[in-house]
Amino acid sequence: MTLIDTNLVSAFLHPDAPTRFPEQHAFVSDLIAGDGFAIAYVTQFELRRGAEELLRRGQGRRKLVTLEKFLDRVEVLGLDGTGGSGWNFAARLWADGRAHQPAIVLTDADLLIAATAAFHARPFATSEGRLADNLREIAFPVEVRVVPAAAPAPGQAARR
Amino acid sequence: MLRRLPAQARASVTWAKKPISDGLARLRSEPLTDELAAVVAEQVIAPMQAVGGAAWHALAANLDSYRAAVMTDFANDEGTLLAFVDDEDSRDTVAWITGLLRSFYGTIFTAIMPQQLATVDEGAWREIASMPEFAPFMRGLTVLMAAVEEARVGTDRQRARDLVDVAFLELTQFRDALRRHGLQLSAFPYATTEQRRELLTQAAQRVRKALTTEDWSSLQAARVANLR
Repeated sequence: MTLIDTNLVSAFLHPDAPTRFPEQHAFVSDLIAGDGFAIAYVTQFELRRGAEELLRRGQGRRKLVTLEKFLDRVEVLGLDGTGGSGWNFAARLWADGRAHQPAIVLTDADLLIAATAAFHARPFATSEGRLADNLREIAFPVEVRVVPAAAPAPGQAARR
Repeated sequence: MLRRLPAQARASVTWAKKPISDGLARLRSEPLTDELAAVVAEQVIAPMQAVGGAAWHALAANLDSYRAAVMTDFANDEGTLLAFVDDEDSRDTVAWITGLLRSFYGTIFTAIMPQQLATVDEGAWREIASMPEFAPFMRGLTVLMAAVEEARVGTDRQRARDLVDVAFLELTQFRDALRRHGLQLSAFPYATTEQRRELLTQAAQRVRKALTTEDWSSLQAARVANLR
C-alpha cells in the first residue's frame, strides 16, 4: 500500500480536484480502487492544524468534522516503532543526505514523510520531482513515484 | 434506559430525570460552544451515573439481555436521528458515532463478566468518570443525547446537526484516548474492502464539498516546512 505525500492528499481534496489536479486525482482514485493508500502522521498533522485554524476563525466545525471523517478512513502511519526506531531511521536518512556530494538537504516535513514510507516498507508517491530525485540520490530504500503536478495557476506558486 | 428498569430501581433514580432534562434543554437552546458541552456534561454526570449504575445492578445478571437493550436503544436513537437530520453528511456522522459506540460497548460487554459488573460500586463509577480520558466520552454522549432529544421533540434540524458534529468531535477525542491505551476501536469494524473504498471515496467527496477554494488555500498555508 503506497504512502502518499501531503501534496497528493491536498490535490485530491481540492474542491475542483478532478479538473484542477486531474493526474493527482486519478492517481489517488486508482489507489483507492486498488490496495488503498496510507499517509504519514506528519500529513495528518498538517491537514488537521489547518482545519483547526479554520475552526478558530469561526468558519464552522463542519469542515473539521468532514476532514476528521476522511482521516478516520485512511491508514495513518508514524515513526514511533519500538524505541522510536522510525525516528532513528529518519535521522540516518537525513545524515545520508548531508553526507552526499553535493549535500542534499530535505525539509523536515519531506524527510519525515518519506522516512515514514520507507520505515514501513511502503512505496512512496509525491508530486515533487525534485524530492523524488533527491531520495533516489541517497539510495532511498523503497520505490518513489512522481505524479506530475498540474501547472500552477497564474500568480500561485507551486509548493514542495 | 430508565424505562427498562424494574419499578423499584426506577423509583430510586427518578430524581435524575430533571437534571438530565435541564442539561439537555440547555444544549438545545443556548449558544453551542465547547464550554457549554463541558459544563452540561459535568452537571449531568452524577445523574447519568445513578441511572447507569442502577441499570448495571438491575440488569447485569443477564448480560445478554442488557447488551440487547443497549443495542436496541442505539438503533432507536440512530433511526430517530437519521430520519430527522436531512443531509447525507450528518447521516454519515451519525453512522460513525453509533458505530464507534457499538464497538466500544461491544468490547466492554465482551471483556467483562456479569458478576464483575455487579460488584462495581458507585465509588468505582465516580473514579472511572473522573478519569481525564473519560471526559470526552461523557461530553460526547451528553451532546448526542441532546441531539436525539431535539430529533424526538424539537423542530430545529440545524441544531440537531450541530449537536451531532460536536458529539462526533468529542468522541474522536475519546477514540484517540483509547488508542493511547492500546485499544483500537473502529466505527466500521465489519466493513468489507469494497465498503471501505466507498466510505473513503464518499469522505473525500464531502471534504471537497465542504471546503471553499479559500479554505483549501488555508490548509495549504498550514503545511510544515522545517520544524525549527
